[in-house]
Amino acid sequence: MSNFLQQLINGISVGAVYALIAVGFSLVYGVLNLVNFAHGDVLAAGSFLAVALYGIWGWPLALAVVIGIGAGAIISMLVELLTARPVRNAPRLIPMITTFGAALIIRSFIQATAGSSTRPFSTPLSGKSFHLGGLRISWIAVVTIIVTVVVVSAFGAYLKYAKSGYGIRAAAQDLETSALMGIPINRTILVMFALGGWIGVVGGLLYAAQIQAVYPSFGFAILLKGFVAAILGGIGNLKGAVLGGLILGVVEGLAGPYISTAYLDAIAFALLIVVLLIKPNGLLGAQVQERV
Amino acid sequence: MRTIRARRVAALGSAVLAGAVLAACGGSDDSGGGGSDGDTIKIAMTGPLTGDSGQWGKDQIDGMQLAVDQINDAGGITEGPNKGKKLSLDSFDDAGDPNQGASVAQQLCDDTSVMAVLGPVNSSVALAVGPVYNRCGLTEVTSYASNPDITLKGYKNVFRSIPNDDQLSAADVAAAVQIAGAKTIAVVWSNDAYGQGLWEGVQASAPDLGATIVGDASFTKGSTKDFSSILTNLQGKNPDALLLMADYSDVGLMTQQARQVGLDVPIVAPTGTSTPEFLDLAGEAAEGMLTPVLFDPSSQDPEVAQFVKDFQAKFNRDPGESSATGYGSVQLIEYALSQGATTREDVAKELSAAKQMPTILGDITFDEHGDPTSLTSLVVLTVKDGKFVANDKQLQS
Repeated sequence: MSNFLQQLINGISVGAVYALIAVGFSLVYGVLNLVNFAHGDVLAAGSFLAVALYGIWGWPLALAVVIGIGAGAIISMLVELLTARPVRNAPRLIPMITTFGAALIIRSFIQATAGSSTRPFSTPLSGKSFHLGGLRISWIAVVTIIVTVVVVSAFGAYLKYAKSGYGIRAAAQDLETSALMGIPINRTILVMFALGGWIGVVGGLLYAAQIQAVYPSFGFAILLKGFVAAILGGIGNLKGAVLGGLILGVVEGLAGPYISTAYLDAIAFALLIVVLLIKPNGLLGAQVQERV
Repeated sequence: MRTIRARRVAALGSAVLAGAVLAACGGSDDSGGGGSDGDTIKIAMTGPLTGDSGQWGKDQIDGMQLAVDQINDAGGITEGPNKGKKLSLDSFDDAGDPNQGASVAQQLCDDTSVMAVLGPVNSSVALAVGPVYNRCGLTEVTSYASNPDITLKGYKNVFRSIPNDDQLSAADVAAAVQIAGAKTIAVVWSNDAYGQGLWEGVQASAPDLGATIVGDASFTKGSTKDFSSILTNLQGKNPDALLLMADYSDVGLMTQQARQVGLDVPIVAPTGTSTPEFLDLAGEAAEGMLTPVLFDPSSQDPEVAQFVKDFQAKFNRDPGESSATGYGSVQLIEYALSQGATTREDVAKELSAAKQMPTILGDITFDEHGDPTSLTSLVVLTVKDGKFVANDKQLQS
């Protein structure tokens, strides 16, 4: 039983990361119907920068994190400007391919500058934990869950109350009509990419802190999980992305050791297939009309 | 409109693919033949120079380069028809990836000026390239890939200068039992040729050595880096020791994460773990872990001590374990060349026939499979104050 609860806690903290990745990914899909393959590598680039500033050049952790997050937002905007915007009105396959190209370029750039090996990322909280009953809870897991709750709630509030958040929601409902209503579409979409990159790097760094390392392909690896989480919850839906992330993390944590840990990725996709067979629009798919 | 466009794209795609296939086939019809070109004999090193096992390849190439430079500085090959000829060494990165390894192998087969190949380093790559080298008769000497099957395919031109996984993983179990005092062990292994070979060796040797395996888990190399659920589960089995059968990057992460989930039992890691990268990734969690190695840099053996000194002088860093095994593999090729090997096929014949070829890791005679008949003795290292040092207690022979 304690093993079950321990795995549940592990699962929630990993799932929180998947949720953060899924939010940015789902947001872009909600507005543009675009599967943004560059999302994972954008967050990897920001995370690598933060890890390098902190681990190699010895900058203060907080400053390194802020710069990494900022870099993620900027790179994400560049992806929008250079690879998504020019083909925004082309068939949906085209921007998917161009963002995939952007992903490869960013990953190659990381490999060319940082090398292709796994790099350590040891924070002051690494390895530290406390006991609660018979459970051992790592401080990283606590931080991950708190940060996720704060970021997702703040983001939800932003979408609901801020003017540009309102713009994103309007664009999600109908891009053309909202443009006709005077919403500055280009700026709205750019802001949306920046926010997606920003939240993505937060997720990437929390994941890196959990495994205490970064590696060049880690962005794409967790994007796959974010992708599953987003579809699981109902793509384009913020609450769905969070729910999907948590469910995926918990199922992986609980099922992995009992089925086979060699099939962790397969478990994620098997879960997705089962859910889609029952609810083709994802768990919260009924709300898909009101996206984001 | 849409179907026409789709068809056009498909046609274009097939044309590009066909072109790529033709390009890949081109130039492969002049394989075989010799390798001596004037006064230099070309040998090739293959291994991971990038990626999660990149340090193994970088260590190897430096060890090999040192051997080649020393041979050339001393006047080249000492005897036979190759007397006075110099060696040249080129390196080819396979990134530890079987696909990339196979294309490198084909490239080397096609380059008839290459006399012999030293490498690869990773077991999964070695299994992929064996058939390629066998087809073109190019001799391959690996000095770091340890999966037993590599030399069991009946290829006459594939050699390995180190013990295989059966022997190496028996040493890992022995370290857990004899040094860490474990009666029960839990094993995590990477689901590739390397981890699988080690895992099979652990299962085979555990009963004889008096260890009971209470739990095991495998993971997909390259995609699993969060081991917390695996380790939490194994913790529930209460093992006395944890065996981590994977490359040094993953072992480093697992060591760190094992401590994070509170799995505080002694850790034993396979030969190949003793790299600076492992220490970086594992941090303080590495203290006290055990790893049996083929090469102990603090050895008092005069030949080994000289090698360490020369290596430090040339590269301004300490040699890795695979530097020493790589150095030894150049010594083997030098031996074959000094016995009169002038073609690719000759190199394999000379290596099979030779007895007691002198190398830095002891004299080597190959058995009918291409494995060494006597085994390099292993030294168990531990981590103390962030450095690898020989453990006080060693394995009973």
